[in-house]
Amino acid sequence: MGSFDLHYSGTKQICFSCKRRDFHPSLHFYILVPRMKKIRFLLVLGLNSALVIALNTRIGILPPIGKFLDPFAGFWQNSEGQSSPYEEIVTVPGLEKSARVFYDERRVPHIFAESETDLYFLQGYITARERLFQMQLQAFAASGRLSEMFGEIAFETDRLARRRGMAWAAERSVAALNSNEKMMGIIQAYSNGVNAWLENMSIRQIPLEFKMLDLKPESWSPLKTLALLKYMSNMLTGKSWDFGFTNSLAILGPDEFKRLFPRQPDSQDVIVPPPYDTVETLTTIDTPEFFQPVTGVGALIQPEIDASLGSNNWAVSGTKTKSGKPILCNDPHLALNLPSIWFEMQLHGPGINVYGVALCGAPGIITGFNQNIAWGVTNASRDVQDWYRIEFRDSSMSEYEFDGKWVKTEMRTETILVRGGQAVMDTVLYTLHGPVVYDSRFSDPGKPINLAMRWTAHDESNESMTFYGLNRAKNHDDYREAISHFLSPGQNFVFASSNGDIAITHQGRFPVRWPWQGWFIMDGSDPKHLWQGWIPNDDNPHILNPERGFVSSANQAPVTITYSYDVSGWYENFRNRRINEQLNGATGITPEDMMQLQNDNFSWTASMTAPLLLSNLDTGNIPEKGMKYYDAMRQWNYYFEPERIAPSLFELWSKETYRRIWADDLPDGEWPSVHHTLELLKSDSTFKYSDDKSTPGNVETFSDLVNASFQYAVDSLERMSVQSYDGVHWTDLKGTFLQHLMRVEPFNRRNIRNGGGANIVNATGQRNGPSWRMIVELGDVPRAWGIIPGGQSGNPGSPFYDNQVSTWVAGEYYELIYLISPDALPAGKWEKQILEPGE
Amino acid sequence: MHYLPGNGRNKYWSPGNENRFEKHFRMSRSLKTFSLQTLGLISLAWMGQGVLSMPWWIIFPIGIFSGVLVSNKPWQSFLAGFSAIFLLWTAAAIHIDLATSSILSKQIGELFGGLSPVILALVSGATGGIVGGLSVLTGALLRGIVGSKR
Repeated sequence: MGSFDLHYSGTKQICFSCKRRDFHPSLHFYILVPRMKKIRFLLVLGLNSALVIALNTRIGILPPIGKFLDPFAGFWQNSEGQSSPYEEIVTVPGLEKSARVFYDERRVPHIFAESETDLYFLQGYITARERLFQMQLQAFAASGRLSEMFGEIAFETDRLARRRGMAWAAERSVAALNSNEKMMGIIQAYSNGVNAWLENMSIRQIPLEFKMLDLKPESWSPLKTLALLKYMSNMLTGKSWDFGFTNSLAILGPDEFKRLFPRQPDSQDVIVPPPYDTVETLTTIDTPEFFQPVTGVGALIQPEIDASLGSNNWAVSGTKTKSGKPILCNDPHLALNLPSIWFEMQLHGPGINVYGVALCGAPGIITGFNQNIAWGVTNASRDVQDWYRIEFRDSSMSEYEFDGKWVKTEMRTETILVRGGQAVMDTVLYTLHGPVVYDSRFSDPGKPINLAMRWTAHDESNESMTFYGLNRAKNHDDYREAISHFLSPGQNFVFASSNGDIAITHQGRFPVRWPWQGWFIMDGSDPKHLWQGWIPNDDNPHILNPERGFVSSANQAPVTITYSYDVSGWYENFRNRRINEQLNGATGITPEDMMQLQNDNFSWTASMTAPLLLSNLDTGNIPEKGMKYYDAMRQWNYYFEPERIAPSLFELWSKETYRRIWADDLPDGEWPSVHHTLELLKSDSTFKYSDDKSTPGNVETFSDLVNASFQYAVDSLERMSVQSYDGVHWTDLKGTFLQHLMRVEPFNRRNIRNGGGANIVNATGQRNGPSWRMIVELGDVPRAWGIIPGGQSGNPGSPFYDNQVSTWVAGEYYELIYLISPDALPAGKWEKQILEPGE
Repeated sequence: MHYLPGNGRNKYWSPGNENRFEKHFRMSRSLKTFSLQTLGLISLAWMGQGVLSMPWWIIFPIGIFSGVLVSNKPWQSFLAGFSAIFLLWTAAAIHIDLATSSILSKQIGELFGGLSPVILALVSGATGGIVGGLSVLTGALLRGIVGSKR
């Protein structure tokens, strides 16, 4: 900047009034010409620089506009056409030998590698290319680092994840994995593959979401893979009803509690029927007097629990199928996100040729088939998370009581980096039970309580071994060996092999507990309240080739009460009945029959509840607007078809009745299941919980609740904006949609008109549903069908982002192309790619 | 020092001080300058962004360079810079859009409040254009200062 000295030089001043250049004292105004130019230049330069900086900066949630709109590197570059092909020859540094990848019409990669290392390297490389943002988001969510991407808004989520010991558990797993050279090698190869893509990717290829957030993808590491597996564990077992049960127990007292919450639900169709041949029988566990109502549990922050997460799997033996070969089916019900949680692929290498779906961030195939076997998973739904109240010696919290002694707490300081803000430090205390999730710094403000969590997901384990083994398994023995490494999250592994075997195992590492142990918050100082040990792996329920010719699971109770161990958990009671009833009656089963069953919309719940509701309805008092719904429901066959109105009424009516029964009696508590409520109603004619406690002096009957709920349901339906000519259709009420991981509205896919719902075999709820439907018919060469609600690509700008959605909605399948050798591609559209090692 | 109309060697720049021939010559010369500058800018920006994969703000130094190099009136400099980058960016965007059946631009347009793909391409072009224009203007003004010292 120049000087603004007025007496600088006469030659540079011009009189504005008379154009003289010399200095002539008067009222005339002088323009400082050269400085004017300089100032003008500096102003424009300043404006220009400011604009460039502004357009290169993320402001609020707006992406950096200039950078984002730039057609050479911004979002435009993420547009892909139907015919945007992959490069035919790619040089990939880090690859050992030349490899081939064939992409079929749906862009499923069929990877042919010369070595195991190369195979997993390429799995990482290709997954990163298609799903990089999803990988990073899941890894960051898993270790409580979302604030680094999204700022303040994600802070509480991160803090809860850290307090629940997610990052700690992943780090422990890495330490444990270091001793397993083989698996570490595989996870490292996968990680190297991801990083090879990251390093070779041009700025144009940075995924759209990173461009919107103005972030660079972070490099991958084995820690991220293990964090992801812990994240899956959290999704499937990170639940606990202990606080709710504790509150309910305080209200009900022990006897009534036992009546409302039976340890083992009645009339169960279990996964593995008796007899059980267990190694140990534990009849002499020293059971402490447990029913001491614990008070002081307020409304603590808990991760969202979604009851509609679940899955179906089954296998039918050759005696029941048309082909004479076993058929295996699996559909895991998970969050309906875009991109889909699964990435479909075939992996071919020395000693392996497997097809199925993988998690984005972990090596191997999670559910799928090879030439000899097929397998699938459903959640075991066992309770593997317990809570202990901790007494600290003083406010420094450096010692806690256990077995009459003071034990030192361990401290772990979590540093949460917040984008656009300051890093926040949070010290989490660790006891012998596990992390103290809730304490004076993180609790219900009114009711501080110190609670430590014992959770199997915190334990060291190596689930990758299971998939490594299953991917290569040839028979039932291999399958049993492979799944023995699977500790958490507990899963029901269904199995079928080309030699005709079918089997199912309720697999995981589960604690031995005394009856009712772990239902309520326990005393952290009492050694009797510790888990009593582990159920031996061989005692996990397992069945091979049962008489009835099929095995199945749908998150129901694994065993009956005659099993030696306590198996508390939260089990589904309806889907399995429909599946078993259908399979029991079936003969000459074809894959098409199985497709029909996976898409079955019959609701067992409705078939049991609807007649009860209708018989309690005062039919003389139905409002005009409710008649059409009432009529529809009377003629209903209990199928949740998309364009029907009866399911809409049923859904609102039954939910409201259920709510009215329990909400006033157990306000902060857990409620008895729908299934058990029905059992109670059947056996108890004067059901005392029908009374609404908020109306003293008035004793409501069950019929009163049913009628009031009917009114509520009809009023709600009338108010809805999604009316069709004949009322609110089920699909509109349900409103299934596929949500983009960052919840960017234009990237969501709405208007999904399908049926099904919670507790139905076709378990498509609003936000959860069949995330992968698979049917495998074994034989010399397996034939298989499958579909994911989305597509192979994670890029909203690709036609392969959502190309499978409409097929999925229609309940249809794609035939999966299982290549035996790279030299015999079947007819169809193929893209071939050769990957060469290089620098 | 020639700052005012009609002063010294810059007499052609004074509208009242030129004959028809001179006027014609001036217009065609400035048109030629403008076109050449615009084309030069398009090529340079395309080299930088399209070929060498440089970040978008490379148009800022390119613009300044071009403004310093080419003698032009400030407003014409701006116009040349704006036109060049606007044309380049819009054309590139539309090219991508046509090749990919607007799959992504439809969704991004929705994100920006319901812009159609073509409007989104024009908005993209204009965003680059403004930066391009200002950069060439900055360069032209810099030339004015540097030039004035010679």
